[in-house]
Amino acid sequence: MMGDRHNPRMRRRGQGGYLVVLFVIIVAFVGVLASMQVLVLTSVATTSRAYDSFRQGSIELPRIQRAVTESLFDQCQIGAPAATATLADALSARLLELAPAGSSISVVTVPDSLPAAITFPSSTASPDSFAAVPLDLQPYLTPELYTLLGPQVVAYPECRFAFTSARTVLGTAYTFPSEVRARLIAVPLTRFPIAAYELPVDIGTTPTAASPASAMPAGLVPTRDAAFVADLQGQSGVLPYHYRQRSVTAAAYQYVFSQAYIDRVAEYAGIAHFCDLAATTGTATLAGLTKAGTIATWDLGHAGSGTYGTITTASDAAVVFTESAGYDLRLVDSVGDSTGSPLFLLVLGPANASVGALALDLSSLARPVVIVGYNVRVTAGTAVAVNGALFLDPASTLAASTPVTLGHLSYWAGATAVDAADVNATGVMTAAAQALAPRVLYVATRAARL
Amino acid sequence: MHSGRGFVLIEVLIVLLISSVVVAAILGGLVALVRGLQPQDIVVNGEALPVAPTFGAFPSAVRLHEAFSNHVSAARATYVFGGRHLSIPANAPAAQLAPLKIQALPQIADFTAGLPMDAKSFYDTYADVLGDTEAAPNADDFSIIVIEPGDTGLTVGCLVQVRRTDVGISDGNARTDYTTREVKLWEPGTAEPLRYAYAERHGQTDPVFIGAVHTWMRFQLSPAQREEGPACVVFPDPWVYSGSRGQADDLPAFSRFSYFLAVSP
Repeated sequence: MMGDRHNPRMRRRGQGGYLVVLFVIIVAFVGVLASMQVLVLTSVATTSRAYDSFRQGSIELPRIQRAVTESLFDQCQIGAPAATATLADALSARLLELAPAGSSISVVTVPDSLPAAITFPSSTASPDSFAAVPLDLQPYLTPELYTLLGPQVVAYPECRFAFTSARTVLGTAYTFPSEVRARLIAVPLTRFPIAAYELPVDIGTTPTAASPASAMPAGLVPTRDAAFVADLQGQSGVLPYHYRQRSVTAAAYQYVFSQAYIDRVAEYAGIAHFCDLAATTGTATLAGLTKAGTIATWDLGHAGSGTYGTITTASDAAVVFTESAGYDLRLVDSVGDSTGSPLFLLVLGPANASVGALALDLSSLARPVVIVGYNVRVTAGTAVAVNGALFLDPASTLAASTPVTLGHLSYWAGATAVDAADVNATGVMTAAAQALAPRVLYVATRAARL
Repeated sequence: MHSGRGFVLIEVLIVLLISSVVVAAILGGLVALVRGLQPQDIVVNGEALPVAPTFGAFPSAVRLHEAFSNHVSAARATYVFGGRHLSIPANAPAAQLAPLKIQALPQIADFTAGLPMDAKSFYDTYADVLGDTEAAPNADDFSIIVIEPGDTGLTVGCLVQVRRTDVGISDGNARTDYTTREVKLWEPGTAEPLRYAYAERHGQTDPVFIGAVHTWMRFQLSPAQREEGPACVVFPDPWVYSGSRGQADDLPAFSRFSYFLAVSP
């Protein structure tokens, strides 16, 4: 009897079985290859997601740093109204806006107090002294701050903030500790020989603003937008923040030409140094100042003392003003002592600029002086040199027979009647006079993961 | 003895063995054929470079960009050399600044000369340390220097070099053109740079922009009047570019390794 193997039916069954085995083997090989491919793809996907999460975290750090910077600006700005919220509360509020869904940022450490920046005029203390940029300030400086700071600054001690951010990455909860260190830096507005400033709420400019004659770095133009700073704070990108420190400079000028600043200087100068040019009685009598009709001549070489009634005091600041147009104040210096004590003069023309300005005629002044003019029409003869600074508000004008030599000139970039070419900014700006000049307070921060 | 109804065990084992060998040979041949047509790596200057898209270089890329992101987070200033200046005249001096040649972390001991507001002025200030620039760079090439806080003052946190080279690989009478991409990052305390390099078939990533684009807040010929804005830098990606998958509403392909680097963060 023949075996089953010789049975054609059984042989076909054996061949079919072999094909099934072969098919299973091929499927197994392909399955292994496919599994390896899936494994690689899964690894890449996991790596990509992990990297993207890392990038998200790395972006978080500069945003925390920015929140600290803004909170310090709010708390410390010279001339700004006192902040109602504590630093910790203000910071927490900002961080709450920063934290995206699924993460939280907590404040761990906030300094108990911030350094108090003492500026002129202060009735309680001398203004903080300027010094060269210390080496330990370097790690806080960006190119923009490097440009704005200049050689003389007041670098206040470091403040440290610590944070913890909690975030879920690939289904796992992590906490990331970080710290931000901050320094407040006061800089005199006389830092640039000539500054064509912009004001946050003003509109308009002239070619003078972009002229090389202006040593002020460009970039204040965006600050003409009243909502500029607020808009900055609402942005998460890097670009809108580019002008942040310079918007502070613009805000500092806005304060200098504000009623709050006038009040502060007037309070410091006192009633014996508060002189109405139009009044013959009931006003201060300043040493060295004589009046002849609408013309007042003030010999700054003898200035310093002032009398009102029975009150006689000496001061390094005075406020001279007129409420009416047509008056002329002539500044001279018969002593010519360039080492004399510096003077701070606030010269105010009529509050309503449309009625006219107070004429301010400059002769050469050796005694160091800082003049802040509101609605004044500045004129100067030939070869006039003033040892000090001249700050002009947007309503003021300047005309000179030959370029006036000054230690510093600030004028509104939109002014059409002030030409930087009328000024030779190579004059003397003594350290003593610089100490009386208005200041701007910058905030420099740096952040690190812990 | 077998039953006469199927295979005995030894037959099954022999069948499995022969089948496995045959299938492995067939699959191996297919893989070799595919690899021959589309090689997984090529040898350039004695170095085997994986051909994109390759997972082989991806972990190295992630490690490098993790380090770079950390440096950028701590940056006090970031300067990008080389790349395109689209918003200023092409013949303007700043546009002529090529990537740096230097292949080591530059040591600037004294930063009292300051941090200028643009890369060209930075180079002019510290040229003695930064050395020469590339004589004939590719348009995709660029260099980055990140300045960071140091122990006492400022320090150079990292140097990044990104280079593209076009090469042709001959195989008998056939010649295939490739583009090689190389990214290196030097940081303090490490002798060897972090690096990833790979090759891609010529034109493979043409739709993807790789390189640097500078923006300017203000440009004048005088350095004192120049102010550079953030530079957009896009690194090559050895794996798969995000974006376009061929759908009409897809984004254009882009690299995940893209940064917006402000000179003054």
